Amino acid sequence: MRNRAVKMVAAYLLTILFLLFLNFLLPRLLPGDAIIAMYSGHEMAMTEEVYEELVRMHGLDLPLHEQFLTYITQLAHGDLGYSYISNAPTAELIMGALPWTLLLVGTSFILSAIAGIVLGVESSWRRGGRFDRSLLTFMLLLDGIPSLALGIMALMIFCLHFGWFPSTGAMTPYSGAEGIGHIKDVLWHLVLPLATLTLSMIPGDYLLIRNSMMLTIREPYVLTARAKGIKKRRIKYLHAARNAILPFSTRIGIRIAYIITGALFIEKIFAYPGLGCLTYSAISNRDLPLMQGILTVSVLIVLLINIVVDMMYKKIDPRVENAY
Amino acid sequence: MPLQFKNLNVQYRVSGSPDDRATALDNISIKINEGECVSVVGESGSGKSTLALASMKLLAPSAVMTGQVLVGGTDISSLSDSEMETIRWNDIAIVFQNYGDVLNPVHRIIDQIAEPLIKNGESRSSALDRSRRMLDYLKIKEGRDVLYPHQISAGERQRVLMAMALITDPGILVLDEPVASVDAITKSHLAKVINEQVDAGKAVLLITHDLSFVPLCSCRCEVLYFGSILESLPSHELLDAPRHPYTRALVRSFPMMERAKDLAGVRGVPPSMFSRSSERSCCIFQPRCTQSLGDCSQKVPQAVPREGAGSAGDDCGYVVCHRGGIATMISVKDVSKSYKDLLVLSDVSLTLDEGEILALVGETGSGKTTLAYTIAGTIKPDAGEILFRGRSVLDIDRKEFAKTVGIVYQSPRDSISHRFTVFEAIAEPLQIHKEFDDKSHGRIKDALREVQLPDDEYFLQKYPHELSGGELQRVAIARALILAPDLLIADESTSFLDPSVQAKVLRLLLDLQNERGISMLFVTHDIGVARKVSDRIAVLHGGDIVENAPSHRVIANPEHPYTKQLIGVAKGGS
Amino acid sequence: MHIKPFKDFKNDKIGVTGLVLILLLITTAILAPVIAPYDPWDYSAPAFQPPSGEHPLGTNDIGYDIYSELLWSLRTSILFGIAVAAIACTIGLVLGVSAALIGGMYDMIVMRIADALLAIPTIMILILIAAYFKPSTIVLVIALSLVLWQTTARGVRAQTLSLKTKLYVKAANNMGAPTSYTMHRHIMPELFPLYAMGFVTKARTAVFMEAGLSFLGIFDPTTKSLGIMMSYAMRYLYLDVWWNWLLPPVIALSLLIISLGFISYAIEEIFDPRLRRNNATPI
Repeated sequence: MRNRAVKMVAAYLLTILFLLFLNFLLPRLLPGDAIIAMYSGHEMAMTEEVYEELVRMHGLDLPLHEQFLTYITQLAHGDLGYSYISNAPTAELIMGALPWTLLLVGTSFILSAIAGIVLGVESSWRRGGRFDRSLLTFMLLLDGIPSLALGIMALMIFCLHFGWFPSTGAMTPYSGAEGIGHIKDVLWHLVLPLATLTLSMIPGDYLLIRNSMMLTIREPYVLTARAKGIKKRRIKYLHAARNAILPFSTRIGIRIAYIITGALFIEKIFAYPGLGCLTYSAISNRDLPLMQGILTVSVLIVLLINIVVDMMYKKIDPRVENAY
Repeated sequence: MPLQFKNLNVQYRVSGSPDDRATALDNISIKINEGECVSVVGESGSGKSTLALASMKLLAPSAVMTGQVLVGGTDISSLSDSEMETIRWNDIAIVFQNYGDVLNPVHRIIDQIAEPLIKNGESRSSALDRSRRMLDYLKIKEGRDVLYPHQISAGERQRVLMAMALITDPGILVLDEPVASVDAITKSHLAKVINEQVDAGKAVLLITHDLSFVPLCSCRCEVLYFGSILESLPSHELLDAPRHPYTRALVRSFPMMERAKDLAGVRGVPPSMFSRSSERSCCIFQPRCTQSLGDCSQKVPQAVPREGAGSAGDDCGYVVCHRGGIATMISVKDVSKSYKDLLVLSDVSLTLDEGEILALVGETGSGKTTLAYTIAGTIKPDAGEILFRGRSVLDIDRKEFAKTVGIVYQSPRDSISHRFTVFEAIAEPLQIHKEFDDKSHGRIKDALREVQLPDDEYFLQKYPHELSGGELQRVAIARALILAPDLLIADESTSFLDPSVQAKVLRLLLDLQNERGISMLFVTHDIGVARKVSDRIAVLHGGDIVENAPSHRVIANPEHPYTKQLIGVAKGGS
Repeated sequence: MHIKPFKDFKNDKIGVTGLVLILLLITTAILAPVIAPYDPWDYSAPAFQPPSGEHPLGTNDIGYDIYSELLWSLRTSILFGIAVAAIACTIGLVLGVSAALIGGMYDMIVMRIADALLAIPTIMILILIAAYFKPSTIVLVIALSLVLWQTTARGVRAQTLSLKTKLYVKAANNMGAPTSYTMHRHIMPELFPLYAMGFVTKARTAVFMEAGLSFLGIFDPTTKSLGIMMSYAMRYLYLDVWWNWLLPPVIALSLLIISLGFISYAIEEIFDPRLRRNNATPI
């Protein structure tokens, strides 16, 4: 058991190192000059001295392996670099945005999973019937509308047309609200981004669960449960769904990656100040250190989630002897 | 509480149109009382599982069910699913076939057993306690109960399924192939458990294809053939005295420890899905039956009382057959014969059924050959009578009767004229009975093919001295069968052959018998050979029949000392 | 169990709808240069014209005809999607089969790389690459393909591994068949469903990515793209142009992705007979 855990951790560490190396290497692979690429969009006079200064600032004059070492050590200290464009440590900027994203993505993931599971179970149970067919068609249609489009439409309809919800930000600026008022304010701003993101995720979860359930329902133990006179709802969820969830759990990592992508667009559209929005401004400002920092953080988070799911998998499926 | 099926009819919709239906069960009526165990025997596709599912109203939505299923007197065919939820497992429980994931792979075993108790409102700790004790009763060790289904063996899984079914102490138990996947020890343990439950007053429906398990647990046996019950009989008679041709064929196909006779399948092919319903106009087994008459393809037979091996007055079940089951072909009653002062046969009585292989075993001079020829009508007995299909042999025209009996002799070189070619030898019966015509050439070739000899012109022109002993004996068999007799007498037909050739000829005889369904009288001094060939052995000693019983019984439990002696010698003793 | 894919596909309403739609869209895209009334890179009318007979969808902020823009953007999306799907699937097929057949160290390395790539949100990598390199379309196509090949590679590898042990493949080998024969006659036909599924799924992702990235402004602003149309249109929300400028690309994009989604759903159903809708269920 210990041996397996050690192997697993080692594999993950290797992956992380690999990714960090990639992250480190990319900007240095830029065709042309790194500095010029970074600052090409900015209005400044690039003289020889400024150039030299910048090279030194970014540590680009040191040999490659030293740079990498510095990079790693900085990382270990939680220092993700410095954003010269926004004039703040990258880590600070990221930490300011991260909680908002976590709130949005976390809630959305949970909500869409619950909705997807319940709808998928009920749909597959009534397979072929009107409920199933109409829900399936609806979900397939919804699946085709990218989060991008959903966000735009939601913005147009609910913000501009009806004016029910705010179109930007996570809080009303300068409101100074406290306690319950603050929470209500946050929630009010959260509704549209959350709703759109969740809606864009539900069809995927629904389809996964539905397909898995359709296979599970045929299994002999479902007939056994029926024969035992167990109530339908219990059979549906405790017997069938409990097994149908397994393929879903293996894909949690992929779903997380997917939801982050969606969040990126949603945040931009609603100007929700999370990591997505930050990324967008990093892109527009060509703020390389910031982008690097964001990539590192998001990769680490996704990996962390994958590790947790892997460890928990034995609990969910007792048939698994070892995941690695 | 009792379980009863009344005129149960189950059909499956095959495609969209309401007329495309495949019949799974046709007009089934079975009654199981409390404290009784009834087994249903059948091959795959016979509808056994459908019966099990019907008893608990678990049929697929594409199934159409008519008739009644009475659980403790209540007809469940009209109940809704939620009403069934209370009945299921409380009144009637089922042990499914142990195949695939029949237990939920993500629940622990003890939880799955306790689940029905908790559903009934019992507290969790009390339910777990009772489950633990039930698992003890089924001999599942401590500590195994908190495992998951994939972590225990198949035998344990079967016992868990049984424990799960017994936990709510239902009045009715349905067991679907409960011993198909278990070892011998588990099998006997489960038999004990089932018997205990029956003694406690449960009604048990046992569905199985394991014929040796049937008499262990059940008192009555219903033979199911593609949706129709063909015979209902006391379980202990199943292996010894089946009365329906299908049941007999089934028993012959079942490997038993005691029986040495080679296995033979059921000839023909199973009926298609669509020809099984009552809308057909013939006996469902008719295409494969070797004793069918005209009526069999015209009308559906009804159930008639069955002659059992027990005393008259016992209910021995019923048989669904126009002929009342396997008919008796030959009935020998108190026949005696002497040559000069030598009493060869004294008051000999026996019967030979349609499609049965009877071995007459005895030493030289025991009278077996005399008896065989008396039956063939060649020798007239001094006393007693011999009935062939109800008529006395003496009343039947000799020539006509000769057509119904084919004889294969001991020495082929002697029984076939050395002047005859193969063609002429086989053609002889046709010539004798004036049946030789243009078609005969073809018939002779067919006959040769049937005994696995070449049918080309070159072979047809060969003379006996050009053939080996085995080939010649086959020619003799072809000759004996060319007129399609109903009875084949093999008089020491393999004694002069080498063992390897003997084996092949015996094999051939068995296959021919199975395919054509003719009755066979196999005369031999070798009880070892007899047991490989026959259904029944009659031992002759000094003009008397000292033993007459199914082969496996004679070999396993010989009654007469002479038989024991014969067996001892055959086994290699002194 | 033998499956007759094309025949079954014809009977599947959802699949057929998807197929019809996509064919319509593809035809439109191919014919874009022909049927577009105006050159979308050229000024053709005053800006912000409402829809009229001459300009069915009006004009944008610079005076380009929106309808023509739409057609050309559709073209870009579809070409992009097909290119990425083809390249990614091929890479996945080659790597997957080779990993299964060669095995050993090579197999392990390929799989580790695949695993590592799977963990990262695709878009992050793309954004980084796009931002660093300011690439042309071709580079982006290649970049996206490089990120998408793993699912196909995994599936193909698993399938090939299982096929290697199948008796009929061993029988062919025993009969003296060279690897090329086995590949072509036994293995490739089994891999077809995986390839088809993968193709459609990747095309879907690619179209989505292209639109998304152009929306974020990472793409070359001179190409016509649905995403770019949407992002520009969004800047003028306060004007009443949203319904003829913003909505059409949104709908076009959605239709494109929906039709691909329908097809992929139908393919999945066909190749896994257990999911068929008209199979009798025990319930």
